[in-house]
Amino acid sequence: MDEPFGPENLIAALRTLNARGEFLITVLTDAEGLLMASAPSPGWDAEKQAAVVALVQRAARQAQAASMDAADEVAIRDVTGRRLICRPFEVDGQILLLSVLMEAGRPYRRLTNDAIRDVRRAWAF
Amino acid sequence: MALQGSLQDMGVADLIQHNCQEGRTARVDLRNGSGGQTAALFLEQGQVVHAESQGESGEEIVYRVLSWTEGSFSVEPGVPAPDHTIQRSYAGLLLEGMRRIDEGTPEPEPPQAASSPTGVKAGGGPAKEEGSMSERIQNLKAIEGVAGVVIAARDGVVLEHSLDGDPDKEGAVAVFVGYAAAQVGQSLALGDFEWGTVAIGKETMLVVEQPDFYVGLLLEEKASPALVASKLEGVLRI
Repeated sequence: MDEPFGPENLIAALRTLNARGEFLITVLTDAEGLLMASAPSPGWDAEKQAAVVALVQRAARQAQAASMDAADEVAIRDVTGRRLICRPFEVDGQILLLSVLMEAGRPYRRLTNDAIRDVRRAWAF
Repeated sequence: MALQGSLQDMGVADLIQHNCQEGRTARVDLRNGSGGQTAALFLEQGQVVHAESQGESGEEIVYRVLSWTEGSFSVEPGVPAPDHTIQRSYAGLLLEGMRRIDEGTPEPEPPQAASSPTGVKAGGGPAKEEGSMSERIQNLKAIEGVAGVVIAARDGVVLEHSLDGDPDKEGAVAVFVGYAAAQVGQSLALGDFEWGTVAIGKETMLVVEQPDFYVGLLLEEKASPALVASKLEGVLRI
């Protein structure tokens, strides 16, 4: 799974996000964690990309069990400062999850806001 | 009919956890293989309410027997407790017991005074240990930017909190983030989990993992998670 996955317009939105934020990987799933689109950065191996998707899938299910459907953002940071950010948002009555993995110190809030807007636009077509 | 077995097959912590999770009322007799000491734990509706050994009673007995790894046990269901000397939840007892074993805390000297009905002995440990958990909560809450604190065991049981809202829900959130973080570490071979955050509306919870539990810090609206996290050293084992 080292190739991008999903409809072209969604892949384009995720690729733009990766390039602007220099993120390691960007994944778009539904609320159940089912993969809708993904865009890895060059050099990011398929195994880790699959691991991110599986992780988001499990986390999405646990979030529902922990009554966390209303969360706006979940961030996990390791001791090196690398972060995994998950941002749920609604499109056309459906909850989607945008997850990005990034190196320490990278800004992400505005970039993911832009990406969410791009995904909403792409969804409309 | 009593259930009997070896502590090598089923440890004391597992015995307590299993019977308490089942909500049992029972007498658990323990015999230490190495020293020949005996102890009896009494469970009522899934909580350890009394423990006695060699004329002593209270929480300290539980902490002592948790270190027994050889010997035998028997569980007699339905036996009522002759006294109630323990008030801490079984999860709290197990966590404190494990913490003492991890830290190699020496067993306290046998008390000189008789046990009080609550199991808090004159100059004894339990009150101090309860105090230290509350103290930890107070120290965390004193950090600038922290509005509330919840400490939850890995199974989601809230051990202590200083929240006005729903501590069980906040505890579940803390455990969710901690668990997800562990999965991130395993799946992506990242470094150790440092901290995580969950933002819900204007509320942000900072979650930090400790050896036996998760700490959730409800942050004030303008507080920076990174800044608060940097102040945790000294209050928590980071």
